[in-house]
Amino acid sequence: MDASLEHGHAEAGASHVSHVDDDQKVRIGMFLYVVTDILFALFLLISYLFLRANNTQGAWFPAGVPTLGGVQGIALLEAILLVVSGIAFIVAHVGVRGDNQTLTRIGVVIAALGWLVALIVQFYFAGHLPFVTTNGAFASIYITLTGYHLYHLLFAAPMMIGLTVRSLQGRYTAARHLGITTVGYFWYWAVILGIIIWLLPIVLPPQL
Amino acid sequence: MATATAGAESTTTRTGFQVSKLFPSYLTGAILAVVGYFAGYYLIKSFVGPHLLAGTGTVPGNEPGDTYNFTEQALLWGFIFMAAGWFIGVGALKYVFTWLLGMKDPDHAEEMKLAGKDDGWIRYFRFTTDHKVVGIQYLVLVSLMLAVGGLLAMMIRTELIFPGARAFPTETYNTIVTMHGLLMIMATISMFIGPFGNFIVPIMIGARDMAFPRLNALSFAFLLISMAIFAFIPFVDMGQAGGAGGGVQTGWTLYGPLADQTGSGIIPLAVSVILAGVSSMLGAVNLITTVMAMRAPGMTYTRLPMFVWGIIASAILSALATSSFTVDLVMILLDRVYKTGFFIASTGGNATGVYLIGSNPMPGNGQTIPIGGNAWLSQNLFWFFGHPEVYLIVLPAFGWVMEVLPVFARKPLFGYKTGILGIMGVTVLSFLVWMHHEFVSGFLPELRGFYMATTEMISIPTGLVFLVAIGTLWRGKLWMTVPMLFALSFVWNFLIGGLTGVYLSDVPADIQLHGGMFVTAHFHFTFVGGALFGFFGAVYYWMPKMTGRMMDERLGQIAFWGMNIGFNVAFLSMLYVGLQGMPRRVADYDPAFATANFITSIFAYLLAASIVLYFYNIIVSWIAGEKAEANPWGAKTLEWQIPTPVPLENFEEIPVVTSGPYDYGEPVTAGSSTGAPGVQVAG
Ligand code: HEM
Ligand SMILES: [Cu+2]
Repeated sequence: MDASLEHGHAEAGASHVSHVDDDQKVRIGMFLYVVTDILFALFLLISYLFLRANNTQGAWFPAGVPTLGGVQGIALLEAILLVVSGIAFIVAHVGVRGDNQTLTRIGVVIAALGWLVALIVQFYFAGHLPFVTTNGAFASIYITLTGYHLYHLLFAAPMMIGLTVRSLQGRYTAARHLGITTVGYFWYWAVILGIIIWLLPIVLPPQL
Repeated sequence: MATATAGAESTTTRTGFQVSKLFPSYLTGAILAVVGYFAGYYLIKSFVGPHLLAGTGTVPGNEPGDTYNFTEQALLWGFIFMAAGWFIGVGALKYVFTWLLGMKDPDHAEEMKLAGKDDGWIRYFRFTTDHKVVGIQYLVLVSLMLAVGGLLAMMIRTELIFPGARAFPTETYNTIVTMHGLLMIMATISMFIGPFGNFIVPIMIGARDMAFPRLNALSFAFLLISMAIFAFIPFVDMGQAGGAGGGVQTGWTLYGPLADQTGSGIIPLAVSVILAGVSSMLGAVNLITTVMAMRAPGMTYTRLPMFVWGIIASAILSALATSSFTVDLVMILLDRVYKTGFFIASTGGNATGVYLIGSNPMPGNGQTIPIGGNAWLSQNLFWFFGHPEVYLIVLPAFGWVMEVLPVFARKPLFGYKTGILGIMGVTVLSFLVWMHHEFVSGFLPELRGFYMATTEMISIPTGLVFLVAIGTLWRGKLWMTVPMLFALSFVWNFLIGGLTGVYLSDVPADIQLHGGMFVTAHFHFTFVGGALFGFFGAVYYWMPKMTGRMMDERLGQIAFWGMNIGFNVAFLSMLYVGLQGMPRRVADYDPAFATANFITSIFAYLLAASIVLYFYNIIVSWIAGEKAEANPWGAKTLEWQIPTPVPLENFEEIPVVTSGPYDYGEPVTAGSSTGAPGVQVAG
């Protein structure tokens, strides 16, 4: 192999050691994954705008259907829980960078608890919407968006459980804490989407 | 592949086949997939449907049978559970559990076991992480997809051979057209990224594997289950009210309200295409990361082989555009199963609860209400994906052509950076043109001029690629191997495809040509004559490295000419009937179009026969072809510099790259391992 290599555009290297920065690799991969996830939500949000702008017969929010009412409060609670969880996550990140195991553990555990409560609240929310899927375009897209948020929370389950277990095992150090960094990419984005869902009907209300 | 023969040679290391190697494998995956399907189906049908939601009345309007479509809901959850069973069964989720339970991280030995070390043929039938195994798996699956899609195409041409011919009932014919379109789209999306993106690209950049080997195996598992679900399409008929029956009659674009009304085959179709989309997105993330993070020392971005650029551009499009279609498909499923109103504008005034478009009982009072959905939403979501997707398919072929022209012209690539500019220009612009598919839809007619201009602008970067191709050929001593022939035919066929595209982007012309055979012929010139023939050439080119065997040159030449003559006559004739005004997606047509259609059908059969010959060539050569040397084409890229068969970790030592990939023309040192005739020619 080595002899023939010279006829190509390379020479045999000297090192058996991997030239690949494994951390960088995982960071790029997770970042790209989150980009595709954001795009999916973006297309849903664009659909929200599209349907709001292009609905026929003034049917964006059909008369006779109760307004969002109380669930808007639940959406706010959800957003607050997510923000608390997100802040705890930042604390964990700061903790692990400074090699502070206690701070890391506290941060991760609070973040995971915030996630768990947010998951339960989101199920409650889905069960108490004042409309069903058949109630027109607004109901369709709003339910789908909140459903996507619910999917995020379910998808976060292995990440949150894993981070809790592994940080309690003391596996994250200042030198190696890729799990916290990359799950963070996903989790901060999930928090942001939760806030967007709470804000959306306020900024662009259902009634035209 | 080194171990493929190990079973015969060594009685010391292994004693034949161990049954334990089947756990887990695709066999266990298939078993759990079947179990999952029935579990999901009956969970909804026998439990959730009648018992949980039926007549609860707690939510206004939530009556059984009228609010949700329970039979199709059962089908949908059947497929979702089927996919879940499959992933559990093949062991794809094992690492997730060991990670989240905080168990010991797998060491190098375990990783090598998962990569199929010392496993023989069984590693091709399980969740194997070696990128070369995944590449071969993709090659076989994509070939099968192309074969089935081709069979469907022949059914279409048989229906159309004479006016008034009745090979199939019209509903079945429409299903065939839809399935042909989508199956071919999924096959062509994967045909470069799958086999060669996996097998060749990591070696080309001097890496030992893909960035995420497990993710790689996972994307293949996604495509496999996607295809299993796709096979259900013609067979499911959930007794739609309105009598649409089984199958899907919409055509590959699956436009909004039509998809809400068509046969129940739309359920497996949508699930299948979503899974294939996820597969391609995961593959794209993996490939981009691989190229960004795993290049060998000295492999700068400006030393990357052109093929890698083509794959990267394609992966970028896949990562950025696919979600738009996924959202569209999710909405179709929700419209069907949960009766949302994304694409439905108003009511049909039917309050009896029969599932018909627009019949939407008002909560409480049974009155029907307007819904406010929009059919243009579907068109925009589809084409925002749809146009980048056509370039997703064709850009790897661009890259491949620029890759092999220097090899067989034995000259440096003419304008390496120009080529990159061309590829990247197309990539960026392809996001700005999608509305040329909606010129006559009535949506925002003010924007037609803009989209006409952007579409025509794409010919500029495309022209750059042509310039590089022609410049490379100019005064080269061409070595006319089969891959070279395919590369040259790409230039010709894609030229016709591109030029007809310019006519279509012209709004006044498109108003005449839209919805006609001219469009069909246009995109077949780009997809088949361009991308697909590029794939055939690429198989031929890399076959020696991937299988260790040379393909038969004479059979290859015959197949090449048969394909190109068959294809060109068939589709030039189709361009002609298109100009005459024949509409597309019809099962029957005016006798005025008879001659041209007859010619198209006959030459389409020739095309198909040649493709069969090509596949025969692959199979026979793979089994009994002449043994290949390490570098039969005398090429300079890294994959040719390592032994054939490629060792498990590709490189013993990671190479250090010292120059660009196309420095042909320097005299080759004596003792070169290549006996290739063109190798001595200094350019
Ligand atoms: C040179 C560049 C190209 C231009 C200017 C162009 C232009 C167009 C236009 C304007 C249409 C719409 C026609 C109509 O529906 O009335 C169209 C349709 C289409 N083109 Fe192209 N095209 C180009 C290249 C390609 C390539 C490279 C591919 C595939 C690899 C492709 C695939 C398609 C497909 C699939 C359709 C029709 C889809 C449908 O209506 O079902 N085009 N093209
Ligand atoms: Cu297009």
